[in-house]
Amino acid sequence: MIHRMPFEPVVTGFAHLSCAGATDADALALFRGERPPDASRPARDVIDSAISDPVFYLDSFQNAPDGPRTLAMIRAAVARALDAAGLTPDMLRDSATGCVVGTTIAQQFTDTSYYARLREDPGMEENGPVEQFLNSNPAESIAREYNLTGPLHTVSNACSSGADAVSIAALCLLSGQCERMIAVGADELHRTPVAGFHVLGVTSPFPCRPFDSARAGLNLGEGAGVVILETPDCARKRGRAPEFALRGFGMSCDASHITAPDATGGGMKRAFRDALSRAGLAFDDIAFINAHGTGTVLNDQCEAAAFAGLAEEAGLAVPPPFLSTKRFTGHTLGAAGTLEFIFTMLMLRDGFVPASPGCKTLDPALPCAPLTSPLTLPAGTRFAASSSLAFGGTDTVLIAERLG
Amino acid sequence: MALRLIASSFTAPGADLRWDDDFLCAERARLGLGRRTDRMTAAVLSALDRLEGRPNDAPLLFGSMLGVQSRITALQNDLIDFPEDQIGPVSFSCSVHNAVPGAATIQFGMKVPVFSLAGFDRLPERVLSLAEAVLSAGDADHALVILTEERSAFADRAMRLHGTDPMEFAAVFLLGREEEGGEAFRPPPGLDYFRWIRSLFSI
Repeated sequence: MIHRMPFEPVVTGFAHLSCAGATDADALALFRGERPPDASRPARDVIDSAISDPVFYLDSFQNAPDGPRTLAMIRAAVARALDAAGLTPDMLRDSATGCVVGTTIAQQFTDTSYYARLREDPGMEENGPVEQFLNSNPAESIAREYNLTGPLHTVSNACSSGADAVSIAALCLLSGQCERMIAVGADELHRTPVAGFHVLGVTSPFPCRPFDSARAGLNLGEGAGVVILETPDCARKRGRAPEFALRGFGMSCDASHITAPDATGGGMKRAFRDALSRAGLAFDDIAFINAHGTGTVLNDQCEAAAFAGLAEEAGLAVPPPFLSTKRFTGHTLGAAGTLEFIFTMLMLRDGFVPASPGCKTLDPALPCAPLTSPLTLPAGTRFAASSSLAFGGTDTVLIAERLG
Repeated sequence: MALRLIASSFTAPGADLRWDDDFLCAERARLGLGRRTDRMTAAVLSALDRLEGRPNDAPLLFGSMLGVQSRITALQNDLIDFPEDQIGPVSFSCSVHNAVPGAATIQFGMKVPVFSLAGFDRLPERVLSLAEAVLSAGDADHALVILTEERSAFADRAMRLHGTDPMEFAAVFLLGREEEGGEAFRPPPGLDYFRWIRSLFSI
């Protein structure tokens, strides 16, 4: 039984780097259609890119790059988020601050050339890449950089890792283990997942079209999102008046298949119910949902079934409006859940929710439809949700609140 | 809140702490697993199945420094051997860090929150710290913790650099809150991960 949280962790700062841009203004201009998606590039102003072009609409897995650069994105985004939160390194060192990073690539040794050399000569003396790997765990790296003394976690729950990082950060605050958490989701475009998704037959040769009958799969992307969460007391003591809070979160899993989401949406519904219980809200309190919306058939079936099922349980004719922002960013894997939670907050602030990009012809097989025209939110709109799905059957829902 | 150990289970047959192929083969058959279920997954499912009083509604916390090495190595071999061709689909999807706990949820029908953690500094302490946070939140009465490592050419090298002799194991712990009784459970501060596992299971 999930109960209402004793307090809502407040968001005192955030930062995002992705194909949607590196500033709030960039992202909002994209959402509002004031600049075309193809004008955006992966945050080159911040990241010393090893990639000459964003391989956003890959037509061949052989074109995929071989990292690593996730840690560079994390460090850049963390610095920006701390700045937005008004936090200096001294302030972090002097308080119980922790860090949780959600990622897929950055926690696995993926240096294929080293594997090849080791296979050729098992007794070789070269250890540099392994030593570098053992010293590059993302959460531990951020902790060393900022002398953090709070909880440290690197979570790798596949594509829900970023959302799960936010949930874990909240659990650490709610349990009293610390008063401030840096929650990160980040992943680079890397040949391993590119090759993997390609062979699964779920990558689209054109920009993705979530919930559209002509969808052809997902586009891979890269990025980093960082959310600074604090207890309300911690924020108040240093004179911050946060604009947003994490009102609720819920996690579950399908327990049905290692890669395919449950088409009935069972796990997603459980995660949503838990998030609503923690938030003390009803489904119709949610103004809109930023769905996982990768653009694969099974993702669309799962989320549409979950949203329609939750609406039926709540006695609603239709679920709250929903959209996917994956067409703006590509599927950024471990970054997606954090980035999309941030985008959800930006839309609440802006009062504008775009039509689900790429969805022109609704899939008639889905029990409910995404937003087909932009939505202007009434003044005072407070709550919106962001949902994530992942390999392993993981489902996570985050609920953002815009504070009055 | 202090964690309490309700029950534990462990698989690491073989004096050299390498999973014995005959044992894993027999466990695959006993649990009705596919013959291609990888070694770490089979060992973890075996340990979970043997855990006394295992609940199906407890959040699952999975911790591994190096992940499912047989799958990761197979994927890398695929990339090395066939650079011009597609990789095998299973080697990718089953090499992700949360594939093993994902398989556990499927095997035992556990529709629960899953936390798959990685790291090198004090990993057991971090996993147990999160278990404590999960139980403190009051949403669950128990937490299931899995700690597991698998050997490979790369893993052996990484473990030696980490200061330990290579070993592979699957350890499962059922943890509860203080009021439930049971033995207080927390790795001694500063204790090495592998040495702690050896001491816990008297290896």
